[in-house]
Amino acid sequence: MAKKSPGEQGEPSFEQRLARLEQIVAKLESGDVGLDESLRLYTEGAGLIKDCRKVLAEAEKRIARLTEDAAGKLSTEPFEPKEEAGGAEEAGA
Amino acid sequence: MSTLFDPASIPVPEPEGPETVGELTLRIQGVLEDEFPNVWVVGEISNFNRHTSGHVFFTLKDERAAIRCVLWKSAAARLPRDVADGVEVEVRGHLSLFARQGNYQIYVSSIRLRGAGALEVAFRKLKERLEREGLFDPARKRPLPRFPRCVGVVTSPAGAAVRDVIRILRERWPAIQVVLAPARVQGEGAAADIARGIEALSRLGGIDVMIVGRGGGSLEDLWPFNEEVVARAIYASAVPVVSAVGHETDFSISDFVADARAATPSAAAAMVVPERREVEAALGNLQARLARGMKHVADLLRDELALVEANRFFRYPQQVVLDRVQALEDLQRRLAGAVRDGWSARRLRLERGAGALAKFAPHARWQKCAGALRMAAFRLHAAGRALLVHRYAARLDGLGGRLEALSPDRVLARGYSRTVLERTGRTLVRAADAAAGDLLRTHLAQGTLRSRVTEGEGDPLERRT
Repeated sequence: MAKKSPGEQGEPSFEQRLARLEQIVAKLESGDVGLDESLRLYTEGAGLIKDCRKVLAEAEKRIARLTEDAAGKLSTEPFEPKEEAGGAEEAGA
Repeated sequence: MSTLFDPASIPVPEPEGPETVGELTLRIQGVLEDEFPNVWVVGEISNFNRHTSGHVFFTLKDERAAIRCVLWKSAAARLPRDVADGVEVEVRGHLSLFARQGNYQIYVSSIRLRGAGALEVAFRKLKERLEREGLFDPARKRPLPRFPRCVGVVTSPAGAAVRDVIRILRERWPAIQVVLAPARVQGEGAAADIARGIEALSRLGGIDVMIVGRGGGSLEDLWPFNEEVVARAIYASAVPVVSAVGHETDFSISDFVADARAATPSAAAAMVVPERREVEAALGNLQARLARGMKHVADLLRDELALVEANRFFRYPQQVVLDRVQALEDLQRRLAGAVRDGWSARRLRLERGAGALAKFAPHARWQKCAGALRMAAFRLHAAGRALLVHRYAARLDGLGGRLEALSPDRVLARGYSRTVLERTGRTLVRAADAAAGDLLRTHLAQGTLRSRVTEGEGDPLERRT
């Protein structure tokens, strides 16, 4: 975690996936697609829903604290906020 | 109810005679000066007016009252420069009366800016300057990402604010990543810390949006967020910034510069990430629409297929051929019948004519006539036959064309195919009807394929639920 830059590029973002999904649904709803095309769209849409659900279910709880050395070089280290004495809520390490 | 104390019963000395306005005013002035030789008042300045003479006039007010104030030229020279309307000050002086207008007023000896007043002035000046420079321009405010993957937070690592922010971010969007840039958020050096944190998060990369703020406090506690270094850092940030300084009503400079403003750090956390349950509901809705859309397309195609299947070509293939043969035979029979009927009617008439003729003509002539008549009859017969054949042939052509229009070949030529399960000899519509190992015969526009089922797959989503 410390080395990896958060928010990897490359794979489409949640937002892009959702936008594509909306596009597919609208196209299927128009009914203006052939059998092969509609099957392909449906499969793609089902995959996108699965991906999006996976993101929603994800709970990696990656909390990092930024540090900067004398040379101005940035790095991150895991961070868990301290609970106040008697704090009722669970931090869930 | 009896009155024990009647104000009217207290003896008040009667004036000995009328006095002038000036005399009365002088008496009042004496009372005021005796009673209020030294006042120390807190209030807000309004109607501030520096007269050309050098004297300064203003009104000191609070929610309930107002008092006129005068600052003589000599004292006005020592007036703090920031004194202006809206500033809260402490005034010292004495009370007296301006006889010409009958006004009582404070003759101010000194003015001191109150703490908040001094900060207020600094705040307003900086705000005006940065506004002129375009730092608050609404046109340059960036929209916040709808689904950030990583949120940066510039605040104290020890305060309640960071805990609240992290808790709310996780609750709403469990996949969220958070990078905290720790900073002192009050006191000496805090502004520089905050500015450095913003700059570092902006430089780190991969941060989609950042929250800069702290929990509530006094105006002095919140002051770092009103400082220029912080404003400049927010302005320069490559990442959209949400300012979240814990005060519901007032704005800080960082609120004006930031891309968005939240009243508290918790509110900022709720602002930057969507609520998972809402997104889940939206996804469920999209999934239902996807399935419905697919069914819609499938229904359309199925209807088209049903139309083709309903065609007798598919239902009774031999029957269609037999029908055509039968129709042809029928036509032949009708043709033959028609020809025969026409011919016999004509023969009858001819024979009748011939019989009649025989009564009048000599035999040789009858013979000759009979020969010619037979010839004519034959030609008549031939002509009639040709006419009928032609008409029925045209009808046959028409029927052929209509049959052609219904032909499944046309549908197959568009890329659809019809698959028959060998075991049952029936057209296959549902994957579930075929088992692994079954032989299939697929009719394409050109030719037929024989294949064997290896596995069946239903609807991938239906299968999940």
